[in-house]
Amino acid sequence: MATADALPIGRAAEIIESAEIGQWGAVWRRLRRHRFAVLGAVVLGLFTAIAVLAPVIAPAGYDEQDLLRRYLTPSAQNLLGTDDLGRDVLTRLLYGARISLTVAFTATLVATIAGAALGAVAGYLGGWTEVVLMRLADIMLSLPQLPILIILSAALGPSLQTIVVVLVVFGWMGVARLTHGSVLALRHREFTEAARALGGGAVHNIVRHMLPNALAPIIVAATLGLGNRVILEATLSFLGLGINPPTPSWGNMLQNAQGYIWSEPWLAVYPGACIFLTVLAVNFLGDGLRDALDPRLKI
Amino acid sequence: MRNYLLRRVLQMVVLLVFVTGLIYFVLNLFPGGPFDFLAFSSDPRDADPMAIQRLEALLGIDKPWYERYFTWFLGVLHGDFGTSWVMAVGIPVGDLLGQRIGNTLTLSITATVISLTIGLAIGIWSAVKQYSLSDNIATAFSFAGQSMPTFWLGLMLIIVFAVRLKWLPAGDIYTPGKADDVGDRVIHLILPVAVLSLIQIALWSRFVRSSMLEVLRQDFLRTARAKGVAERLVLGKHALRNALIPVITIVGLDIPNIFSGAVVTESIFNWPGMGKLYLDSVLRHDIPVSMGVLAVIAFLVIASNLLADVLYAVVDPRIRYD
Repeated sequence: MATADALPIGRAAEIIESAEIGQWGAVWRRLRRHRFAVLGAVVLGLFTAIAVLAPVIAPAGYDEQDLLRRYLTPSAQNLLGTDDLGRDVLTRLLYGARISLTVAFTATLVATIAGAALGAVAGYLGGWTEVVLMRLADIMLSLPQLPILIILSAALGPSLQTIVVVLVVFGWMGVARLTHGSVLALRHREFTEAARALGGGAVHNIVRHMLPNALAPIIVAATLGLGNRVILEATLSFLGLGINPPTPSWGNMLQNAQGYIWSEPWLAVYPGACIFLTVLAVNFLGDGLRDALDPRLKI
Repeated sequence: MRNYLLRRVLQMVVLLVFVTGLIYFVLNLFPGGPFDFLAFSSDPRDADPMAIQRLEALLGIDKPWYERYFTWFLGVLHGDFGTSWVMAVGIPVGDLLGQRIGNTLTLSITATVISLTIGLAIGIWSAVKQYSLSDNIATAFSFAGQSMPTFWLGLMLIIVFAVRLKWLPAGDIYTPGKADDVGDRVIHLILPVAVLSLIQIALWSRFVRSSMLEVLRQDFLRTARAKGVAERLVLGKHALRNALIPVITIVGLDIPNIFSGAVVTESIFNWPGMGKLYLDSVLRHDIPVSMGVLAVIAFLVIASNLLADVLYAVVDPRIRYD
């Protein structure tokens, strides 16, 4: 075990190096060395590109039916075959990526920003604001997630907007807790006192001095949360409480495939494989980011 | 200790009131009510808004939500969860829950016991043999399990073991006519339990591994070895006991996940438990039933968190409860 006054040479070199290339340069270098994280980033990038380019690269329209060409096995014309309404499975998968990733990215972005803001405000202001916000987070975290998402989606009426709203409303607490914890640790440090003494207001101090120091765990939590939301969207759509057909999402394609599981079992393979690959890629990336940003992080 | 317990139970009651209140409020967002269908009736007497209003007053659902919540809560204290609106009109929700809760507990307790046993075994093995081939395989398995949507895993298992190999049934709780055959029931239990367990093992084995690694680094283990304690005892007694303490918390915190998983798993395998009851009631807007299931789940979740905290304090003498 290395002690503080006897740094191993490699670690010392790393510190000198990071002084030259800056904090984010060092993070980038460490991330690049994590093979699975790079692989994850590439796969995620690929799926994102597919999602963006779906209308360009898809061989057909997503709801283009041909009842004379149903349940076809893979061929040159339909690379992954056709479904129960004669729609091209590959096309629907490509459009499904669009929906799944739009929902997951939007919900994660908004939930993370909201969580970071609420957590920082609670930690910085303290008092009643802190008690109310953090108790609320505790209560919401103690609810069983999926049953609550199910009932909310049903109450608001399943749609793309609903699912994003529901994922945001029940998705901010984790990040809020993390940020709250970081801010509490920073609130009484000298540089914060200095910033306050120099006349910095609450908003300025939070944005300029608190959040940058709390960023590492937030980024990791957001990344892992992204994968979780891909699964949640798919689950809700699978249960009929997410994206409504004929708009394809990986989840509702699986719901449809469930009905043909005895006759056309392969229909259930592709959408699930897409979900699995996407989430696996995100989790690899998150794991690499955790090591690269701060090896001491434990979330 | 007594004061600590008392305070925690009080907190739990307050939390339950808040949580069920929140859920009741959310359910209030549902459009329409149990008599909405009457408005579309061909009989003009049914569609009379006055008649609908009278019926709603009869059920007491014309009052504001917080008043109804108060009535509902008082009822629950006496074991009365109200009656079903749609699925089994007029049947007490408590009866519906009673029929289903046993099936859900069978499923989730079996899955929890299996996940814990296998998760502990894999976790301990991985930690002791860190960076070995078997540890790397366990890591890969864990990543895969955590990235796997429950329902897809269920569908894939059905395709492999029921559709292709025809070894296991694709769903239901027993073969019709064989309700008392224990072997038949066990066979029906295999696939749903496998789905719930595989994902839980992936999570728990990882946690046990890191908890165990932390303990393996400690000085008291070196002392034990120096004293000449057998390696098997060092690992099994000195290390494992300490590694298990944080595992208790994580298992307690994961109980809600198992219930969430049960909603999906039960609906895939047509398993007549609370999860399926819940989903059906939500899809058919049978609000008293949904509310009843959610209240039971919330109670179980909060109670298991409390149990985990108390166990933690009992097992670890370093924790002080004041």
